Amino acid sequence: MQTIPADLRDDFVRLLLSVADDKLLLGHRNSDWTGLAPILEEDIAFSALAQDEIAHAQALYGLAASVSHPDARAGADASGDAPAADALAFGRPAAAYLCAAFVEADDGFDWAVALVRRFLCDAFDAARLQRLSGSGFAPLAHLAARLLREERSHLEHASGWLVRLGRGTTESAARMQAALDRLAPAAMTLFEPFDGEDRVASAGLYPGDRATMFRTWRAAVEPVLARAGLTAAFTLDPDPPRGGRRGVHSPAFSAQLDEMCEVFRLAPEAAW
Amino acid sequence: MTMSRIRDHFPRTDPAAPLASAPMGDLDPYVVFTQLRANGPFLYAGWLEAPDAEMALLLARDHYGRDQVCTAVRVIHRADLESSDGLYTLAMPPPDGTEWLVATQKRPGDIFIEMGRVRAAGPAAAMDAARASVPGAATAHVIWVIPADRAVTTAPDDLIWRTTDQTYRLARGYRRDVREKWTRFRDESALAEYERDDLTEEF
Repeated sequence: MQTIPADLRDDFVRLLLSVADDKLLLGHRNSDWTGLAPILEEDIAFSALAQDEIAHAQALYGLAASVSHPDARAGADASGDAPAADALAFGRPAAAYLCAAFVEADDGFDWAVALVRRFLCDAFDAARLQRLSGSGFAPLAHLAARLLREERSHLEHASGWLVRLGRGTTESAARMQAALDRLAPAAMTLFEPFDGEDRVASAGLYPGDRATMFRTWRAAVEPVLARAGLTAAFTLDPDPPRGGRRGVHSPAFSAQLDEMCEVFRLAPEAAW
Repeated sequence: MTMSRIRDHFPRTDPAAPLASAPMGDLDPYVVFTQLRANGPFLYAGWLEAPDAEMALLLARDHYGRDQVCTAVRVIHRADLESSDGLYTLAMPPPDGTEWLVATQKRPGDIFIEMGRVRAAGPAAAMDAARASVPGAATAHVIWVIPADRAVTTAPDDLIWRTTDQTYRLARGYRRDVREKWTRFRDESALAEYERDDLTEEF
């Protein structure tokens, strides 16, 4: 499939935005650690991985822009229409963002929280990109397959720290376990469906279902936690409350968005 | 002014207060080499500290592997390095007949480049074998020899340089108008510096 049927276009764009918004917000949150991470080497790596998330978001916003406005720029590729992608990234009201509550939350500059969140998100993203790589919409399937390779390397990196700190000292293990205890319930917000998810799934644009993806995610997460000596219980809510995936965000989100979009709003048409 | 206002909330502690836990000092030094093109030589990239070789490789991939397009990354523990100038000494010699990697620094200040491999019994013999058979080693300023099986290298299918747009990491990634502004600024700065030096010399 090379074009999206008109009756599925809005749902499909919501699918793309839910992925891109997760990545943009997580990249933004994790870049807060640039220059502040506990060791120089991980400071650089953590920042590079945060940039990757934003690069993934850029590619997905470009695709969303080309699907939303197919005639806006003939010949634009998946990452092609930069101004439209920027407008999607930085030019929407808070309620139009479809990121999960899990990526919005402040990590309180707790390194264990930042690492555990990144690990859980990387595992989720790998499972989601795997699912998207089977999409019936070829441009998305190709893009997802490309991003999946990068996401797997992110997961490998995050898993490396999780195991070493979980198996490190008594203090590092306690900090990682405390972070996991705090984050495990919130991680379930990643699985909240966006409006129209069932329709794009049935149409083969987002093949699979939440329950299967949750099992895939657990199969990736739990062996690493076991190697790290950490424990967590994950329960998927079959009917989760309306949250970030459906535009319902925490009060702090607007302030975060104001900061993130500040430069764009100063000069929306600027070329960099 | 901070880059992000969230940094205003960064938890600060009294620098004079005792540490919550004793410093562990459990990170080891590794030297990193990068291969910039398939089948090309491995070039010295820098050093890093990591808890073990596996983590060193992961960190090296996301640090030195991202400076430019890169096809492979290699890390070597400092204790596995023997240097002809005596700066580094191999901690634990390998069995006789081991294969050694040979990296040479042609002149002081040059980077080390992996130039070949030799088989030898011990680091001194490896150094001699390198001088006899590895191109440029006989006249090199410094030679490093490393037991080949102790170097840890990325697998051929490991992703290092990303598949998404990374041109923002490179000078050519900037739009032409930004690049022209930068060139103009740099030229003006160079001229101002030249004029300042000229005035200093004349007066």
